[in-house]
Amino acid sequence: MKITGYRHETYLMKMDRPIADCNRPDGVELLPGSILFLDTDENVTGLGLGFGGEAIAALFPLLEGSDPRQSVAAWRRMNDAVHKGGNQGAANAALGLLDVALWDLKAKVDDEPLWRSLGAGDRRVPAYASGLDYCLSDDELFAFYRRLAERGIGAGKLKVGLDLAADLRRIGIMREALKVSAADPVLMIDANEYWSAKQAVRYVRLIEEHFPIACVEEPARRWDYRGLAQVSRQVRAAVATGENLNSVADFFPLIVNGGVDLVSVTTGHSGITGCRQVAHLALCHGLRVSMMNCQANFMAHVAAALPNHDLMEVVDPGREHCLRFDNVLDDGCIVLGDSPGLGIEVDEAALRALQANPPTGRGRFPLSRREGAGCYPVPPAVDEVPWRRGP
Amino acid sequence: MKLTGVSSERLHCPSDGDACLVSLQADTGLAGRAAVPTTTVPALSALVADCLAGEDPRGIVSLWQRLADRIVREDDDWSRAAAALDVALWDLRARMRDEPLWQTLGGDRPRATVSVLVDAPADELAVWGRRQRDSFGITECTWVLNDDERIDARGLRQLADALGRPERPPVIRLRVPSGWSVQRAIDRVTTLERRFDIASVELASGTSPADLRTFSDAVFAAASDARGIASPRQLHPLLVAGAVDIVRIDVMRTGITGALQIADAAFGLELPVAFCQSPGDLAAQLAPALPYFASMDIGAPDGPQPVIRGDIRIEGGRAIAGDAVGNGLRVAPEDGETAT
Repeated sequence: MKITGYRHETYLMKMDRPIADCNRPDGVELLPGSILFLDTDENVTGLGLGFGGEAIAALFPLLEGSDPRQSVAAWRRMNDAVHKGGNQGAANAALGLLDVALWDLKAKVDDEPLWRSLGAGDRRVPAYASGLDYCLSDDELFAFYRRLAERGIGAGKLKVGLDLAADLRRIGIMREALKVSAADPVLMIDANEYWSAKQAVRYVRLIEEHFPIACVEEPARRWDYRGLAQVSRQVRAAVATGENLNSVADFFPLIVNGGVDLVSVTTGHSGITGCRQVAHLALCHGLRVSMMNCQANFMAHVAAALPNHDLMEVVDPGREHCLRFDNVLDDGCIVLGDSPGLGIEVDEAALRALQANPPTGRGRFPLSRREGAGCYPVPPAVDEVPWRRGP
Repeated sequence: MKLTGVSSERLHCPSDGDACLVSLQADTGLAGRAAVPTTTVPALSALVADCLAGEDPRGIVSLWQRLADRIVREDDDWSRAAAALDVALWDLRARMRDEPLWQTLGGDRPRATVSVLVDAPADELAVWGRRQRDSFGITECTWVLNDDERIDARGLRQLADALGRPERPPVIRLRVPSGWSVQRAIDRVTTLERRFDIASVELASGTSPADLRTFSDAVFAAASDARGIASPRQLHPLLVAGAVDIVRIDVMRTGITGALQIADAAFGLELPVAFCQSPGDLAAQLAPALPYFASMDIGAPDGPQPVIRGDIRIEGGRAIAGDAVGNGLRVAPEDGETAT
């Protein structure tokens, strides 16, 4: 079997609801999508989902003509090829897309779901609710977490960072919403690198006077391992970080310097192969990992096969407009199906429609960093978020 | 598909004693195989009964975690039995796909650099070395240090001359015998380093991370633990202390799943991995699936042949795997007698 060609499609979608964090309180509605189709000479096609992909043409020659079952060897060739510029930006996005497609292919060739190919014994991946909810009103916030709690999810992560009083109120709302699932919901917060390390210590400590916070995500800059270690030492919550790093190499200083307690993992870490490397590095240091959110929850296949996986993030903003996928949310878990590979099919007609008529809306992912980050908080203006307009 | 049981075949080879070929059976009729010391057989049966019987063999990562959690100590018959069962699970997985193990692991055809353990009398070293080089392309060797420094110096000179090629200088590795203090090892290696380029030094098992670090800082060569890492847990203190420059892995104690996890972690810290000698040169099957594979130990290819062999040939200084389905382990019937 040989890899013969590829097709890369990009499109823009308008999510069913906006997503926001403290860097962009009013949120964005538009999300760029990227789908890679990796073809073989035996009529089996691998699918890769992610972002970007402009550099695929540069890396594809390293795969053309090779056996797709030799996915790790392919990853090594690609990793070596991007050596000078490093696993970042367009190169990393392309490498990730190709690696995901290769693993999808490998599982399809064996006619089994990817979670089986990766060695998982259980198709269920415990999940937590994550609203990306800074732009939701208090009522909308409650509705989101209540909806997922009714699916058995008893853990939630709230976006915080600019307004302590509001954050305290909304953590309480999230907790109340989750109580139909868990008597004592697991509460997490996420500041998306808005704070300095010491701002994080002060802010989180104040929150911890009111709530038992299990985890604070990105309380300081992704590369500030000393600051992150400081936060870890001075608050009770576990420090989670890593989603914005590029490869296992980026985690080296973070882990050996105690800058992380819960490692965020994603196929953005140089694909499925790279994601597993990060998870195994964490494993050897006695750390657990948490899989980030993604379209169609496809990364749950990887999470299922990680021995140190904790909970996977579920955002569910409605971003699978041209995808059909084989997993459901049930009893607090993402339950993966038996369809071969990632279990994802592309609705080509829907894709063409999106490409022909790109949607319009407020703002486009990714979110840029907000004024005052790391220096002085800039609370959201009244017209930025509905929850400052009062109940 | 479910695992149904395990059987073992005891083999005797006049040249290297008893060995045991384990067969982990599934209800489809397929079986995965691994080689183990005969002393692990009781533990094998118990682990299969406790952890594997009735389970789907495709859940390898989960099953390995179950086996690993069952192990209390990391260097006894139970841990070796667990590792062997993991090796057998991967063999079974590859057989289910009707492909060689290296492809199941995602690699391309292995061409793994080998380092041969020197096992020749002092007066035959030159001839032995040239034979390794000329017949098998081997240019890397591991020399066990001697009490007498003069023997080391003479031996290394002969090996360096015999193994070297114009296009490929010899790679000399040293192994420190057990019982040597770290200071004694430092003294000997620094003395030899004045005359020879030593690539790496393996210190005796039980050397503390602090002593490993002290040794590494005192010599030019890369430092490692001769016995190899037995679990991901063992890696952490070494990494935190910056104690090793090469991570050695004993796949017959880590299993394949554990070896993959350790190798990924080592890659994250820019540390190459090297493999201890393994039955049938199993380590060669893993090499292309690892991001930072450096070398694997082998016995002399022209030495006494073990009764359990792999689908590996040594050529151009590398272990090259064939296309035998699974891990390629086989019994060479002409060398041994089978006993159940």
